[in-house]
Amino acid sequence: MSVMLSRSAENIYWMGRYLERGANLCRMLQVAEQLTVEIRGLAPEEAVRFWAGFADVYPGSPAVGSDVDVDAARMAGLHAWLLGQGNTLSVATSIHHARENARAIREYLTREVFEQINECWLRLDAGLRGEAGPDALLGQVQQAIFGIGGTISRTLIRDEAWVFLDVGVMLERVYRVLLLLRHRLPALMATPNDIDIPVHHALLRCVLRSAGSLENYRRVHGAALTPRQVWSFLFFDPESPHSVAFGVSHMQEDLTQIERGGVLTDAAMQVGRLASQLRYEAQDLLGRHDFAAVCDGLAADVDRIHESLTRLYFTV
Amino acid sequence: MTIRTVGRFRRFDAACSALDRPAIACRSMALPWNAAPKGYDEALAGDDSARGLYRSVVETLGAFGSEDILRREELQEVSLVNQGITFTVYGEEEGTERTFPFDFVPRIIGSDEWELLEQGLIQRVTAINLFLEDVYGDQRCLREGVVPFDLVLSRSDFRRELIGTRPRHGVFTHITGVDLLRGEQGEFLVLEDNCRCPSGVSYVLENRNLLSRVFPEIFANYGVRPVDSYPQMLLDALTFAAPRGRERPSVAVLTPGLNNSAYFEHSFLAREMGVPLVEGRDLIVENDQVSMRTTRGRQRVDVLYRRVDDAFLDPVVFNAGSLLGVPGLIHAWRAGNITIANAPGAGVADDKSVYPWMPDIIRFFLDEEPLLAQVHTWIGRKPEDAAYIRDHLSELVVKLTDGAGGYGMLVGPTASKEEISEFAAVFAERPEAYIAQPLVEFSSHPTWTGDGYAPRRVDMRPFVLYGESIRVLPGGLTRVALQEGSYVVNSSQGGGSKDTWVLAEELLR
Repeated sequence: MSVMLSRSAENIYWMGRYLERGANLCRMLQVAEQLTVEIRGLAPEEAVRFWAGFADVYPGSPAVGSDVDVDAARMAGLHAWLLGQGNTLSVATSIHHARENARAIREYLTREVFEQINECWLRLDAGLRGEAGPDALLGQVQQAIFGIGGTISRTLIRDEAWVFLDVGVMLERVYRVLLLLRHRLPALMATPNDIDIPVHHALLRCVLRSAGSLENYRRVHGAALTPRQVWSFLFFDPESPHSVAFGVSHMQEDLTQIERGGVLTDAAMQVGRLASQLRYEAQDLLGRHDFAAVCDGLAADVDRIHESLTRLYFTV
Repeated sequence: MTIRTVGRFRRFDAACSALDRPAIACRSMALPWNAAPKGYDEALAGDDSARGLYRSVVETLGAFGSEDILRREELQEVSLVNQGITFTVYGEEEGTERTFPFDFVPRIIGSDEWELLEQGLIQRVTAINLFLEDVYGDQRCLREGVVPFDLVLSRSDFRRELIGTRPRHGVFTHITGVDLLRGEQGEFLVLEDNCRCPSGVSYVLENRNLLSRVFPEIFANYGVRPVDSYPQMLLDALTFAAPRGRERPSVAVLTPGLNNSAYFEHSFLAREMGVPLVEGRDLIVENDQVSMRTTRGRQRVDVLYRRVDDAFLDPVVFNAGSLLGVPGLIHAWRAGNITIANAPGAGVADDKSVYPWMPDIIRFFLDEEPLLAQVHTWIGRKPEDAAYIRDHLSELVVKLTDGAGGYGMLVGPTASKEEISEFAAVFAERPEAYIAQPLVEFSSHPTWTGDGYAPRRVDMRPFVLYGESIRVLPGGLTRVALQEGSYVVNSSQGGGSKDTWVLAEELLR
């Protein structure tokens, strides 16, 4: 199938974004679960704050988990972000939307990919109907989402549909990593000595684990954990799959493939500028003290790339 | 959105491992097979012994214990749910998806019988297309009184706007589904023709796929003709129908969208043919050329396999409020720049009021006797027939002439007095909107009921493709009324389906 409908390109792009969102949320929920166990005796208020901080990474979602009680915050957070009744940015909503988009473009997917997405949704649907509790469900759903990623990687043909899917995945990933860093890191950078070192390290590890990068970070930097190194790694490491530089570089390759040597589009230029900035201005960026503003600026750039893609390819 | 299934959702791999366990195949636990007490039984003779073609299947299935059958049935259900082989039910919670229940006991048709059936179907589809060409052309059959002028012109599916239009090669119905029953003597009868957007072929292919995975043993002694060439046959027929001068025509499937009951099938066919699945909003007409909006700009479409009803195809010509169609599409079609399959206006040939004249239509256009018989029909628009229907409601099956899916009909012999009386009032208001037929005691087929085998009524819809020649898919959708005693096989009303085997030759053994 050489022709790709604009609507289908948009469907597969969003399918990628929703799958990535579901995966990110599952990971963050697992991290929050572990953090709660780890620091509830040391600094329960930090655990509660971590649950409440989901809304910063997913703006537009209802504030959940601001209770003082750790257990109440955990249960409320788990319900709201996994099953998400009333929350349009939950894992369940993301996978539901991914499935609806997949249904709209089944002709572009392999049977295996659709089945995996469908099965993942059926598990969550069972949870929504009260047939499975969120505790047991979280691990199963996370495994199922990983399974989808693997099946996509192993079975989908690398044509234009795959490229739009990959752009969606990468754009969502970069955007969420930027928001994660924007909201989780500044406090750790500003007041490293005001809190217990074990708690401080636990929170830093959570940032890395939320971005699926703790083990990768250790392979590069060993056990040393500083906020600035975490920033540097999650921003600029060219080989870590959840770094901003890696995602942007992938998007650049994807857009080059879509254009096939044609006229350089707005989206390609915007991604190119961002890639250059991350490649050649790393030291300048690391030297800046307004970290939040840096993240905001880059997130706005990513938003503009999304808008350009929509204008260029999805609303022809 | 919910998916209704027979059982609770279980992990597919759990069900697979269930299948891996040793089968409990024990003759002493064999379940009885009983022939239908009324009507023709497809598989069993009067003494409950298996008919010739069925002996091997009955023997093989008879060797499975009920526990093994139930395990395989569960695997079957899980497989349907996980693959999303569902249809959407209207009138329930929005977006409710249901699986189409599948019964694993296959229906078998011998090669000789199929050959006769095939000839009859080809004859019928040839006549239907000549009739449609005539109705929108010279109207010779109307002028010569073969079919009443006013009858045809008053049908809601007769498209006055299309008079004078002749599609490429004169083919209106590139895909036809003909609903067949077996009468009491086992003879095939045509119940109705489906000339607009006949659905169900995806289940024919998926049923075969499913049966061969879950009950591979039963294929052992049979040379079953494959059905998986259908997408290629369909693409060939559509490509052949492309406007003149298009060397590599671009084909697309037009769907009303995700919420349509047959969306799975639309998506399935597009995927299997390797063509885009488009919605009305993906298409645009400029200078009578139809294009689709792609990531590389607008690309011309040459053939549109539409699964959208006529009324919604083009808001400029038909239903002005339609959001499913494409403004200007009909004009582009009339200009010969695109082929629409099936052609707009084809529905007049499958109107239930026209059906009684089909034998005359065959004789008129082909100068041949019909090879397939059909069910006697009374027409509500004829005063004497209307009076007969009114007086015999309790004996007849009464249907809306433009109805489908088993809705708006009365099955007199099984209806209560209150239902008959309510229906009589509705009928009296608009008798011309109805036809009636005697209740055909149509054939039954052994069907798994959950705890054994029992006879259930079945019909069959073979699919006929009209391209360079007319070809019939060797098989068809066998629908089964799952409720004991029921005559209603429609999926929307509790029907299920079976795999239909057409044998390449008779039993190998």
